[in-house]
Amino acid sequence: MWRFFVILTCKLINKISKITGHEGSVIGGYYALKLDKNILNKIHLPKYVIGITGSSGKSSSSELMYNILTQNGYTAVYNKEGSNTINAITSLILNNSTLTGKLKKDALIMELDEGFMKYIFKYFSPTHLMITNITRDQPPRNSHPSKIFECIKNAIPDNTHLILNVDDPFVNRLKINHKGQITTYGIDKNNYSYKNNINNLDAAYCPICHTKLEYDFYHYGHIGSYHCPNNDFERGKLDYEAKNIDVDNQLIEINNNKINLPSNFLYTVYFVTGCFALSKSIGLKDEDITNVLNSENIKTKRLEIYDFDNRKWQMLVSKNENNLSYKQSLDYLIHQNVEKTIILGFDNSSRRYTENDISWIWDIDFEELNDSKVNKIILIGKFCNDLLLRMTYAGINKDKIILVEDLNDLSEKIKKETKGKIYSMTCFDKEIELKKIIAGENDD
Amino acid sequence: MMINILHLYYDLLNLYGENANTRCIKRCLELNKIKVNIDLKSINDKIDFNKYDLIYIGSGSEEDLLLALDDIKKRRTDLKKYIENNKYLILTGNAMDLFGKYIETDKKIDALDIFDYYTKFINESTFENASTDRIVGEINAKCNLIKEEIIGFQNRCDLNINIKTPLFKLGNIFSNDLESENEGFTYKNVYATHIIGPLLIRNPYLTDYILSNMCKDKKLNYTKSDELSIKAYNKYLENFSK
Repeated sequence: MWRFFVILTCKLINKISKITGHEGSVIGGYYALKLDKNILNKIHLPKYVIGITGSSGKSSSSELMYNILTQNGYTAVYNKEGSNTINAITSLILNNSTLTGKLKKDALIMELDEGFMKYIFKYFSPTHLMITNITRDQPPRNSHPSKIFECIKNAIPDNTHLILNVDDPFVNRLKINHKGQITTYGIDKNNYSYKNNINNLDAAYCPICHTKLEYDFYHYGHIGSYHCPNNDFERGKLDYEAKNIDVDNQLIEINNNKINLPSNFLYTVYFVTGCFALSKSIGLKDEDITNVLNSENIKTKRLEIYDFDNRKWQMLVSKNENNLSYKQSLDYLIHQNVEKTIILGFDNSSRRYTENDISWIWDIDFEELNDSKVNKIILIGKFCNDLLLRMTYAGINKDKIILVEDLNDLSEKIKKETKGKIYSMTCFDKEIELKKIIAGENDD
Repeated sequence: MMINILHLYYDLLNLYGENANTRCIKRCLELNKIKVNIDLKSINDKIDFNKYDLIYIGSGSEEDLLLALDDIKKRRTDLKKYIENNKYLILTGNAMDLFGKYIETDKKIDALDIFDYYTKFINESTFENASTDRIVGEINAKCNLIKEEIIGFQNRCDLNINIKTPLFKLGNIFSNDLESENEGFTYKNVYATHIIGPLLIRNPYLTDYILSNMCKDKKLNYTKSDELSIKAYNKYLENFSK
């Protein structure tokens, strides 16, 4: 009876929250847990309880997994809004349960916060858990990758089937002593890979014998193909590997199946390959998965491209909180084979915390902006002088750099002093202002 | 004449953009037409400490710090001699933990025992948004060596107890032991702070103080500052001074 009441309360509060213009994906769970902290123990969960976690790529993976399963006739729910804390997961489960405590679907898919996972797995174990990567992510919140690794490691139940991106040595370490099943995935060398370690910052040593790992190639940061010289630890042979990767033309192959990528960013190779491995672990056939991946209905994030003074302006989000995501966006810019002007800047390091840590700009290889296709680099925002210093250290010719401290000057500067397609990569705070500038220009 | 710099544990204690510090030293010396060589060394490497004028060590995860500790303990005699000879040692983040008496985690681990303080890892969160147990935030501090304010960022879980010769003074929420107003540590030409990442780039006045003294010892002329760095420093204070 009490369970009935708690579930009803959760549903009602979330409904009211939604009606009053709030998200309605978190607060019901908060009150449900207040009323009965063990409520999650008392729900009859679906056959497949799937968790997806990691420093980046978990939202895209959850959404794609939902599409693959539902388009193959499975019924499923997932945390679409991207809230991934215990209150959000509680809301997700209770909102979709009957008042008698049954989640009547084939699969529950949960995007999970690395740090909060342990509080959820206290109540039930996932049947499958996919881990995308472990990198420097929101350091003021998460401190460092080895702490994130510990959080994940300590939360994993014995019997859960793990789906691991073993291109990441931190994720690969999760194999050690795990008692349940393990499926591995990764991606082959491609034209984004490089040999020298410029930015190999983490997990440099073998977790067993503490000898420095040797890399055959890097995709970005510490993600790549590596082995311990004493054979104590290696990426090894993968269960599922993306091969013949052509990021620019959005094509890969897994198990000899040709697959179209939803976009021309390197990270899509990872989440597509990860979801392939996860779907296979659940028992789907290759063609069931590829049919969905190659169909037109896979929604992708629309590229934000605008017109500005007879030029194209593409907006990218600057991932200040995660230096490797930021670096991948820079890689993307450099891989676009057009003359370009790049706008960089931010007022705040993060929208999730107010602390302004700027050490991460020194962990990003801005040196790659020394490229003949880069016409100008425009620096904006409250930290533009720190960025200017960083560009100077990166050896970028000062004639290529334009410092715009007052955004009112930006439009004129772009028109008079720059050439090529415009790419802006700014934090949320500047994005709004840039959109106004573009709109203003198009009104004239 | 060449200034020789050692970036020790460059691939292990490198957590928060720490590479910026050696790059800064190189740029500032080169602005003053002084030749610089930077060596990168790590665990198990052979090191001739006599060669170096300045050694820099940055911060790492607790796991990597203890890995470095195992290695650095083999170099105790060399390092003690290096410090006593008035050579320069700059430590950021938790690197200073290596030089104290011991580190208390869930057990007590002997450290270099070159200085009299000891370290304790904390296990309570002081940052409401943190999912881990850390001291995290922006730093504004005073320093006896220069008149200009020190800026920076901390992200740490170590307390250093029994330090009587701090490098900086600040409020107790970011101090060595969270009780006094002492931050960091100095002794002869050792400069240690919990500030992480690009300490020297963000604090050009401190950098000039340290490098010009080092150059004076070597009869080299160091007069030029990095104007870009000073501008970034001033803008930060203008935008974010509380």
